[in-house]
Amino acid sequence: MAQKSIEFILFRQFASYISSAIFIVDVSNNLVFCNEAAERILGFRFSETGEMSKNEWLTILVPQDEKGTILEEEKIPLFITHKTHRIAHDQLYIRNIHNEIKHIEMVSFPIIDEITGYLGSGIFIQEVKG
Amino acid sequence: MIITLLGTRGSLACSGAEWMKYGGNTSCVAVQGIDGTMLILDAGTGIRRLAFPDTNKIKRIDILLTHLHLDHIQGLGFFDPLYDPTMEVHIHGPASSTRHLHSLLSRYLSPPLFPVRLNDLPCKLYLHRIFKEVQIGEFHVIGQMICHPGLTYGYRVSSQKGSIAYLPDHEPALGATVFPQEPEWTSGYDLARGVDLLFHDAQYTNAEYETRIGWGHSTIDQAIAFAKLTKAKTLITFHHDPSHTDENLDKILSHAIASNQMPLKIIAGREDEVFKFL
Repeated sequence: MAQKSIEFILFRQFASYISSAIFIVDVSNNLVFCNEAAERILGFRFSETGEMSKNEWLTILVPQDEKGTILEEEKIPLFITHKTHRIAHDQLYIRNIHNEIKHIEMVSFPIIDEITGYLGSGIFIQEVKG
Repeated sequence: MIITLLGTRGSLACSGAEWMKYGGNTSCVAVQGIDGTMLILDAGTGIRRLAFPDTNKIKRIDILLTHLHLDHIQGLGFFDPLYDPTMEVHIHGPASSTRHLHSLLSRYLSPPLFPVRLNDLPCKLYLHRIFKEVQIGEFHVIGQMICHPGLTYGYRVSSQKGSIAYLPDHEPALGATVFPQEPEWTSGYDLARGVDLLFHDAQYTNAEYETRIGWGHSTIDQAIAFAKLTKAKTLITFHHDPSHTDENLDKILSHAIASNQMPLKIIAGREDEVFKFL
């Protein structure tokens, strides 16, 4: 497997040290890393699953609205960032692998380098309480 | 491919009897091709020592800067080919998202820090933002960002005869809970994978590193671990701390060799050392 770009390597190291929930997707929306805080919300252990293609992680994490209707990609921040290369934010619900419904806020931002351009996205998530 | 070490010291040039064996000039390595291609890796104070046995043969020089910390560019102002109107000099270096390489280099090559302005150099000067990969004469060169404060690149230079990786300022262990990590999550891995010669930062002892984490440099043990991971054939330790005398460096190297299983050759980078792949 080819080495990740330095932006991903440093971002993963940063994400490993903080308790904010973060996951990282590459230019094709494949999940390349999620930290422990994100594991608690998403319901899987990254050390067990490893990297997942977009299709794989979308089968165990189902984005939906408050009525349980599956969200279209254009309403989900990380896909908006993928399409526009701009920061996106919203609240949504996810159904995780344990069938738990989590109400979350999601902030997605593009990871851009000077030569290649858009490399992928970093996604902060936080459970909405109350 | 002839590789000449012109400066192997890190951070600050030093002189004196205690530094005679490994030398006191800061980072600079010349890589010459059999077709006359001349690459210079970094322009530390060692660049001043570059000798041109036959100046008529070399009319173009490519200088590849890893980054713009002073110990890697200080020799530029004293590099004779920059003052030769017949010489074509290409400087490849990092640029920020807001400032061109010309603007960044001009901070040093202009008064009050230096009497001669970059614009006034008589050679045919071309400045290039670093590429991902490029062919320069007989050499295939790959540049890739690596872990060091500020925008910093490492290089891999290959010819049909051999390959080298040059990562003089590199802290791949920064933030890693375990080092080395998997290859794909290790800064610089692709550059160094399987090279004949790996020039790698080994500035600190383990004790020194404890108080210098995040300064962008490695210990000799980290350099060895990185070299093993990448399966480099020979590790040349580089960017020696200016406080390390010849005696210190010999002891540090001996201790590191004794305490690490060594599937590779390890040499402390020494000024004037020449490696040939012909």
